Amino acid sequence: MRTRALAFAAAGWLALAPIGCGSSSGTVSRRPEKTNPTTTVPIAAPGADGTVLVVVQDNDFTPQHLRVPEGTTVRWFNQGFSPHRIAPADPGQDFHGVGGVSFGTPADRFHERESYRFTFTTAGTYDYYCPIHGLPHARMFASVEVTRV
Amino acid sequence: MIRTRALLVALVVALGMGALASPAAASSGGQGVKGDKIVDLRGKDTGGHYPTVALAVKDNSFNPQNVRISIGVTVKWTNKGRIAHNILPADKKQDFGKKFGVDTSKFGPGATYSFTFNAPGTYGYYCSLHGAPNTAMFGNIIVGDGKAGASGTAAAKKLRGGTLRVPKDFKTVQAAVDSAKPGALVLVAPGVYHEAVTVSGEHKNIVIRGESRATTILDGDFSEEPGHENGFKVLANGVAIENMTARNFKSNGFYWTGVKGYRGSYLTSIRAGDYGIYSFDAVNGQFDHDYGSGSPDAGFYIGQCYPCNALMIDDEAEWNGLGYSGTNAGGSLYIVRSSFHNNRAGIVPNSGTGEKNYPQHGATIIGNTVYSNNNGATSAIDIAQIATGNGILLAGGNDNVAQRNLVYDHDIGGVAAIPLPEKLINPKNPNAVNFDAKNNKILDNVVKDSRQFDLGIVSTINSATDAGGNCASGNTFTTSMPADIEKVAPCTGTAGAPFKTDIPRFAGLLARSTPPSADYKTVKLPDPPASALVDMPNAKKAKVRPATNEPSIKVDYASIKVPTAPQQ
Repeated sequence: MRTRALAFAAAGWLALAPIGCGSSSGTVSRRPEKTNPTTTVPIAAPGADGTVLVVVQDNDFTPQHLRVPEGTTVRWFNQGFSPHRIAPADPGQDFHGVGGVSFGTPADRFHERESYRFTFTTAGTYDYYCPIHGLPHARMFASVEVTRV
Repeated sequence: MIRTRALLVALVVALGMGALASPAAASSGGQGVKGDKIVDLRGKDTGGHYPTVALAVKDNSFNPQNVRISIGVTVKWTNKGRIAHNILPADKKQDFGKKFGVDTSKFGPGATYSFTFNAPGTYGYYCSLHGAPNTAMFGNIIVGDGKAGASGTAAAKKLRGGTLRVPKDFKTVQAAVDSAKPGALVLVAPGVYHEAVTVSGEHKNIVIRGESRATTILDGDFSEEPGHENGFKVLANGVAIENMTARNFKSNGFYWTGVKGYRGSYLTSIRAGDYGIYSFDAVNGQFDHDYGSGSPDAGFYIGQCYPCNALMIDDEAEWNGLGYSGTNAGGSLYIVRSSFHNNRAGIVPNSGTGEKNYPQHGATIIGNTVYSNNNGATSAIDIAQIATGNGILLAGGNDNVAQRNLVYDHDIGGVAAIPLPEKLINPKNPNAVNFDAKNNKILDNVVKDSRQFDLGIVSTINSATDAGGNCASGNTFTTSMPADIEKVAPCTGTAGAPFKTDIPRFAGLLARSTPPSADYKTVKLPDPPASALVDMPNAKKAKVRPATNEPSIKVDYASIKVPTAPQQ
């Protein structure tokens, strides 16, 4: 499927090639070692689709610490090459999903260019991580701080 | 008030249950735990994926009350009563290794709670609704000899040096790792271990070794359970893993992340759903004498590092999507004297926006044997499908060197520097970048039997006449794209003619159709070759060598010659 899609894409590109487009850019520097959330994290505003975006890459979450008001839908977008997974750092914590829906991606994982959405209804701090590539509070982990409105 | 009520409840329960909560020490093991005689459940667990013992929670008691289990066993409590209970540590200061206990709201009738005990000790617990520590509804889990926790404090997690044997001293590899202090050797006897092992930060500088590479096996059973996706997931510095096999893992066979110092020696990875042998954002490492087969992404992957200071040597990869992939990895990164064959594509360092540090630059590929990477029968991610039929592809990276490799029998190209146009491949990715290939050197390779071209250079999809500083010299070859490649893009001296490559041809190759991916779980794989069955020397007694000074194999790269073809 993907290969066929690529064939069309390539054909399209051949037609456009003389116009030219940007080529490889500079190096992306490494972020400093991860820190705990602080109150300096600004409250994130939703994008055009009404959700607040967290980019999932190999192998981290950006932003790592997010602050959003109650009622916000957060969308995680997997921009990496690897499948990832999103799970509560403490499986006993209630994330207060709408209608009691539990937090986290399903067992068949979360593949390249897929999105996962979750609406936070209740103020609190919600720690999560990728069980494939991190531990609850090491390497590929992150948090959402939900503020009262 | 609350205490009085709890005590009343406790008294009522105690009377009702026939005074089971006798304060007399009834332990046969001399641990001095209160309550019933200790029931020894060692050897009576389920085995299987994670060895488990079952305890029943009734109204109002834990049954059996006091049990002894092997280190690394999971205890599963099931509430078989008609009312809710909870489970709390008797001593809040005791270190259980991680958060222990379950809240009343999650432990109603029929609910279960599981906890894995990875360190020896005596772990007391109780239900605060119907008991108190050592009173009424309480119990004890005695793990191993129970000693470390006898004082009831954080001593439960005392770490050990020397040799920790699995399964003799510790039932699981995980339990041994969790008790290993820096410099320790975890020595694993032959057997199939249905577990996934995490090495967390405090267990740095340890060595985990199988006694027999082919028969000391970690089996993931393709488990979907969170945390069971990797054979080994290493987050500690200086950890070496040696002489064993990982198979059937949903994600990766052997995985190091964010560490300084790592080594994988004499490892075999089979059927890992992402990568076989994998380091990410890690530096100072070595993969030697390893074998990777049956991964849809790469058999070997070194990702997101600069300078990586890493060495791959005497490794073999077959039947993967890519033999080697190394996104955004370079700088003192050497891939030498290894064999990549019968994958979709052989050696493919590349740039990508899926992780940081792009573009890729500075990998050196010397003296490898790369052949017959046309294998449409493998499982394969999209990039591997596109790359099918190529030996060495320097894809969208800069300053790489491919030198003195033997490369033959490829449907497309032998050795080529090409752009990696993400915008074409991932048209829906707003952050995609079309990566050019620049300043790559193709030197002194012996390349033959390529159906399209032995050597190739395309620097950018935007220009046919810009060689981008890529060059070729000293190779033994027949065909090239562009023609006369060593005349139009030589590494030394001046070009004998203007550079002009064939971009439509390149785009056509990129867009061609290749066989779809097979299922990595079921694709028929060849038996591991002899090289994958070779044990490390003297596995039972070899010196314990943590990965504190990697790469530890010192190589005189200048002395490595073009290999001769293996016997077919």
